Amino acid sequence: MFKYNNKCLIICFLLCGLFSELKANDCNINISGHIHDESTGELLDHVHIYIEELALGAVSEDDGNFIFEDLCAGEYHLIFSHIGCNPKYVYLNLVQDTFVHVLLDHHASELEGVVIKDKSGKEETSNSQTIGSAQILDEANSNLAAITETISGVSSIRNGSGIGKPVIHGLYGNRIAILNNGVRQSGQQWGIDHSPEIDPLSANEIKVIKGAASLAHPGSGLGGVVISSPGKIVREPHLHGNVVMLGESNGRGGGLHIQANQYAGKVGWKITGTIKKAGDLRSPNYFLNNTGHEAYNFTGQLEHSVSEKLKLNFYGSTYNTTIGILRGSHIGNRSDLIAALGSDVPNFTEPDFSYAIDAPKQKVQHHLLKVSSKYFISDDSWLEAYSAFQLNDRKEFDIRRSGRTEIPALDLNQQTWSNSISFQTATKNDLKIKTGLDSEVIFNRNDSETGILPIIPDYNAFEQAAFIHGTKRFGIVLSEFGIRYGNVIQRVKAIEDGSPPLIKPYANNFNRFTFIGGLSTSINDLFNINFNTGYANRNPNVNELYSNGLHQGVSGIEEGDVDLQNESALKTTLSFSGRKKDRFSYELLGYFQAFSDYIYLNPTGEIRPTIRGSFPVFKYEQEDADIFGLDFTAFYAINPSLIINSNVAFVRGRLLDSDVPVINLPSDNLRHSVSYRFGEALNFNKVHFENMEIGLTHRYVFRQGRILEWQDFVIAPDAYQLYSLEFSGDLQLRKNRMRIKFGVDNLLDTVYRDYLNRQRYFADDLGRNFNLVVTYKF
Amino acid sequence: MLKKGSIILVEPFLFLVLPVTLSINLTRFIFATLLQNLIFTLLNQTKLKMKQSFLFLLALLLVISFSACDPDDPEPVNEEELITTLNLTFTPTAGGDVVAFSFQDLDGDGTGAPVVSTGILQANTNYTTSVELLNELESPAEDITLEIAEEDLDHQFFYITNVSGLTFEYSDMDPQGNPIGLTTICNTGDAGTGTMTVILLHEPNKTAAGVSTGDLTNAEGETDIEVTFDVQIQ
Repeated sequence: MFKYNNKCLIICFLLCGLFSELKANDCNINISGHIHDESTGELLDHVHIYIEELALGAVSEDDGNFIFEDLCAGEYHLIFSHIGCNPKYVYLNLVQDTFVHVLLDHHASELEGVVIKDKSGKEETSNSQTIGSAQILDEANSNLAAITETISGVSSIRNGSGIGKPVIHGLYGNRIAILNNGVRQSGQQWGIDHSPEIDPLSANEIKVIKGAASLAHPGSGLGGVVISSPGKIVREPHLHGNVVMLGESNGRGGGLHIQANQYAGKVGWKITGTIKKAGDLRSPNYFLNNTGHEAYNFTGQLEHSVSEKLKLNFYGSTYNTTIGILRGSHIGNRSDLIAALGSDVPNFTEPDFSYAIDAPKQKVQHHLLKVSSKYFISDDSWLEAYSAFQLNDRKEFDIRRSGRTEIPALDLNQQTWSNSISFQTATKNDLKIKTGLDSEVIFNRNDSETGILPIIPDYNAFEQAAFIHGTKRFGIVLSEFGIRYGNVIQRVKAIEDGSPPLIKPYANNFNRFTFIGGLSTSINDLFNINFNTGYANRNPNVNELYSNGLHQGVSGIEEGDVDLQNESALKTTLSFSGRKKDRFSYELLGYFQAFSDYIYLNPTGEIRPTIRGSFPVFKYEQEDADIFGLDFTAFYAINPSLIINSNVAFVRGRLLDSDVPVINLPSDNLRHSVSYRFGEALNFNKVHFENMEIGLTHRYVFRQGRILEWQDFVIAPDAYQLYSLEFSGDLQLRKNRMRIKFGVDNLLDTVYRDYLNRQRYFADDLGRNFNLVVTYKF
Repeated sequence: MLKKGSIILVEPFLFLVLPVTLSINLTRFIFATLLQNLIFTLLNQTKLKMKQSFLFLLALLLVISFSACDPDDPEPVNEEELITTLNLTFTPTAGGDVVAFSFQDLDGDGTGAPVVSTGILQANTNYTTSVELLNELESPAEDITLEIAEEDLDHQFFYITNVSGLTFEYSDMDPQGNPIGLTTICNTGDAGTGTMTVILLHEPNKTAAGVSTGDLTNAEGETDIEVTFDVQIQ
């Protein structure tokens, strides 16, 4: 790209400061350059280039060139924006004629803002898709699970709209790994109603890998990996950042997000903060009482380049949220559930809106501290080490007698220590190797003040692992291989039935192997083939082994099985993808996951009488299972302005011995969108309105009709279709830039219930929602 | 600033020590001083091959760092909110033998079956009933009935039966004049058998149609107790 010299910078400061009169004489400098599309290499015309300091604009010619003439020496910020591109910001310290070569990341490779990674730069054979910062900011009202849902093959399992977990190819919870800034997200990830505690707005990039590719991290990502990364701090000596204001009509919610960063000398820093608050959400016909939420999230990042060779990085984040749970979904026993299933409007529905969040509710805090260092031995080999500490505190409040509503019914505290060291190197003959060791220590404790026997016991868990991963290129074929071995020790103090209850210690030792292998080849632009296969073990989680008792949320008694063994899966994916310049791109991905000893919660058919009434009994069991499916994504530009996107996902699963479908698999779904991009910028006085785009999205979700009647409390809800409308554009003000995104979800106020939303037993899903995101960039 | 020569030492030092010492101090798994000493001694002895020794040292550290330990015994949970026992007493208004029904479930959600005892009611008799809730895991047993009486606005008992002629009429009320159901007046009809279900609702809608006369249909709320007894009237 272009370079600036530190010494020149200092000289310039001096000159500007001491001899400011001289500046006038130095006002015949030119900035010229040319602009390419990053992925196709094409020269781009009609790119708007804007110099913030001078409020001066230019447009690139047909040959992709542009020029600004007779500028004074000084520091400038240039913005390059082009139809369908994320604007690029360039800082320039101008002392002499300068030629700039700019690469713009063009939307042509994007499918609804989701980038299919450029094949040439690929270093893995598994399929991954990335959501960039622009898309994350546009979706600022959503949580992590909802944002990843825009990727085909990814859905979310939810409890209302405040609580959601990503589902990749039908797998969720402990079967997928979630990495936050390179650290495995710890916490109570086993529960359906436990959201990952990550503020998506703190991330610059969210990437989903649809395969067993988390070799370099503890935990078992046999189904896939979600990677949320805060990104590098831009090497820019000035203070920059965003202020984002959000609002939405459903829930009457609002929020503020601020991000600021600077890289002065050898030290770079970045902070982000998010505050959100919303009240009762509304389905088309009634309020969903007590479904408000609030969040206070902050992160800080400090990077110190000790020398060219050594970089130190400090990262801290705090996530604090309170989420209300639909009052009418809090039930006493099976009779209540049957009554709720039979009623059109949930119990306790009130005609008035409220911001109050009462019990039942969740109060969750998650804090992360990470220190990492990277030591470059040479340009393409380095050592990397990190140590991270996570503190997760989850309090769940139920409606209780005698003022005990204020005391959490569940109070779990988890501390996690992760350490890792890895070494990466590349040899001359296109072989890249990464190898390392990592470890994780978890302490999980219940607070006895709850006055309720805990659903999962206190435990310590220890994992140590070693891995090696490599890629090698043979001509047009990229090959990949990797092995990981890990040892997991669990020390558990389970509380067994009895009066008084007995404490029974358990010590478990599990060995875990992961292998991956893959081949990827690019025959031509229109036809790439990826083949990836991975085998992974997952040790049974503590809740699967020892949970014992009533799970209030689902009105069932859940019983663990202490004899559960490792579950293993062989996942194979095969995909075909290709593109034709900016006009067309597609990806077709088929996958097959063969599980042995798949662990699942089986309804035993027993109805157990207790003094609180009767409850169905569910037991953790294991047997072989197959889960397989198909994802399809395509993009087609009829002309540069009119663009069609299409996403299709199917998944099927079967338990092989009992020959019944696997429960909690996403319904088949289609998502199509048409968008129109305005080629020309509109000018009002001195304000440019650029990158204007209007889009309509249609989503059709089929009925999950394969589930048998006895597998659930009620048959799966009907198919539904939703429309949403979106308008967005960038506003170039005199000095700064603003982006406005206005959207309407569930445009027709359709009444529907979704199979993977647990709240479906009690209430309709959300009605129409107008939302607005205004981003101000400084 | 540092001299060039010293940077060569400082870089690996920072690289290794910062993350590692942090983990040492906070994990409390390793003998911090011992390991630190070990690392520094090794560093001093192998000055020239320092870079190569990092990997080994950290590997060593990771391996040593776990001597897996048990969590402490969890503190006993005081389940003061638990209801283990429901006693329902029928006292003939005209005098005579008291009839007692009882449902006892000491292990809560556990596999143990509840202990149920029933009595025989006399035909065409007028009884007053009273209900008692206990937590018998406490010693002495805690009387939960008092909690219900305290929160009378938020609670109501319902008595549902399929025995013809058997009726229950509320004989108590909360400060707002709605029934609670801790005591009722019960009339039996002719001899017969069937079942009787006692339900305690938390936060019912007491003003909804029929609720104050004991009809569950519009009551909403959530169930705290639901037990069913076999009833014999002779």
